[in-house]
Order: sequence, then C-alpha cells, then structure tokens
Amino acid sequence: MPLYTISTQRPLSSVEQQMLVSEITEVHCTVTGAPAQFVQVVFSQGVYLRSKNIVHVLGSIRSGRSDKIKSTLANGFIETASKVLGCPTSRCEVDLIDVPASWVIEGGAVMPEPGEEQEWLALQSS
Amino acid sequence: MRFKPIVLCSFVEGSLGSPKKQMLEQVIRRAYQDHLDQSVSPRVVWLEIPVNQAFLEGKPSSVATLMAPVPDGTMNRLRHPFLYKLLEQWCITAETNKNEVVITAPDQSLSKEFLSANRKRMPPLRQIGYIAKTLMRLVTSRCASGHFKTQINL
Repeated sequence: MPLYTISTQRPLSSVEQQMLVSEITEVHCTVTGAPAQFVQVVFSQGVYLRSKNIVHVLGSIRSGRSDKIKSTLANGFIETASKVLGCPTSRCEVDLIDVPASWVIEGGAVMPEPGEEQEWLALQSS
Repeated sequence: MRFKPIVLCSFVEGSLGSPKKQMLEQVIRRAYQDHLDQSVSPRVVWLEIPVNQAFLEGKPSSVATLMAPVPDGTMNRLRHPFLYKLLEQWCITAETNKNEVVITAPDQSLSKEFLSANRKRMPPLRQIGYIAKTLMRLVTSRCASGHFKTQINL
C-alpha cells in the first residue's frame, strides 16, 4: 500500500512502464513522505477507457491524508503520465480510494498511519 | 443478508501452481471460519499479472496481493487476528516470506467501491463486455483447473 493500477488500451513498452513506475513512486514519496518500499504499481492493458482517456490510474492509498495532498498526488500523476506517454493531460485520469492503514498487513505487520512510517520501519528491522 | 465474500488474490504469473492455489483457498476459508463466521464460504478469484507488469519500490516484483473483505463495521480486535492468521498460513502454504504478500481486509462496502472504481475506468457499454468476458474467463478456468482465475489484461 499504496497500490497503483495503471490502465491503458495499448500495451506499453518496458521503457514506458519503467518510466511511469519510477515517476509515480517518486511523486508518491515526495508528496506524502512515505517510503518507496511501500509503493506497488501494476499495469493493466487492453482496457477501453471512459471519456477517450489514454491512461487511468486507480490508487488505493492509506486514509488520513488531506484533500490538498490527494489533489497534489493526482495532479502529479496526470502530469507524469502525460509527459511519459505524450498525451494531453485531459486524457489522463486518476481515482484515489482511501483505505484505513489498520486494515492492511504488509511486511509482516499492520501498516502504520501516515506519518508514523519511520517508527514502524525501525520496529520491523529490530 | 448473508455475508458472501469474494477474495481477490493478485499474483504474478507462474508464481503459484494449481496445488498451492487449492491449499491457499482452504487456508482462506479456514481463516474466515475460525475468525469471523463458521458459516462463511468465501469465493476466491485469482487475478494473474504478467511477470513484467508488477513493481514494488520501482523494481519488478512478485509480491502477491489479497483483498479479503470482512463485514462492515468489523472491529480491529477481530480483523487483526484474521489478517495475521491469513499472513501466517499464506507464508507457510505458499512457501514464501512475509515480505512477499500484502493482505487487506477491508469492510465489504469498501471492497465493492474498489471493484466499482475498477469497472468504471471503462465507458458503460464496455463495462458490460468486461463483465461478460470476466465471467467467461472465470467459468472456463473453473472448469479447466478448479479455480476461478482471470487476468489483469483485458
């Protein structure tokens, strides 16, 4: 968690995929302060998207983040996808779903609340 | 209304054979029955991800992801033992370690919201085709292998 599913109709090249993964991971970590080791990205191809979109990002993120942070995340992903795939930002769409951290187990333990990652990581490595 | 969870298990192609899937389905069923409700019989759907389409920390990944819904309003004192039991049994059965699986036990309504958002990526008419294609894949795989399986690519 987060888990981002990137959907497109056409298959993406491995270079495009890697660029998207790197950029989305970076945007998520920069905006939320979460460590990169939490960020999962999967690709779904052959998807006819609504509103003639070129790319859709569905993200499950931990609850507790402000609307401002979520909006910054979504805008960051849209700009990234537009840049990597060379399509207008109006053809890139993002949906984010909040999932309480206490409903997720990762790395062998219930996930920390946003902002409590360092203590959690220290506990996991001790 | 009776609680009938659909457990979505995403896994990277080739990482789980049929015998392991069968054992994992039993593990999941037992976790529901031991921790939530004796009468629950979850349906497990396997979502296959091609090997080059899953990433963690910016690198290719083989981490499995489970979404095992629980009744709305389930307290964490029930949810957490359920999560830990699933994790422990998954690791033993799949012969993997705790870093190779992420398990979510959302309220059922949130699980439905996620599946709905996934469907609504597509325009309404395409959603009908998507549902039909997914059902066809599930039925075909169930007949061929005994498991409900579909793919992330459409």
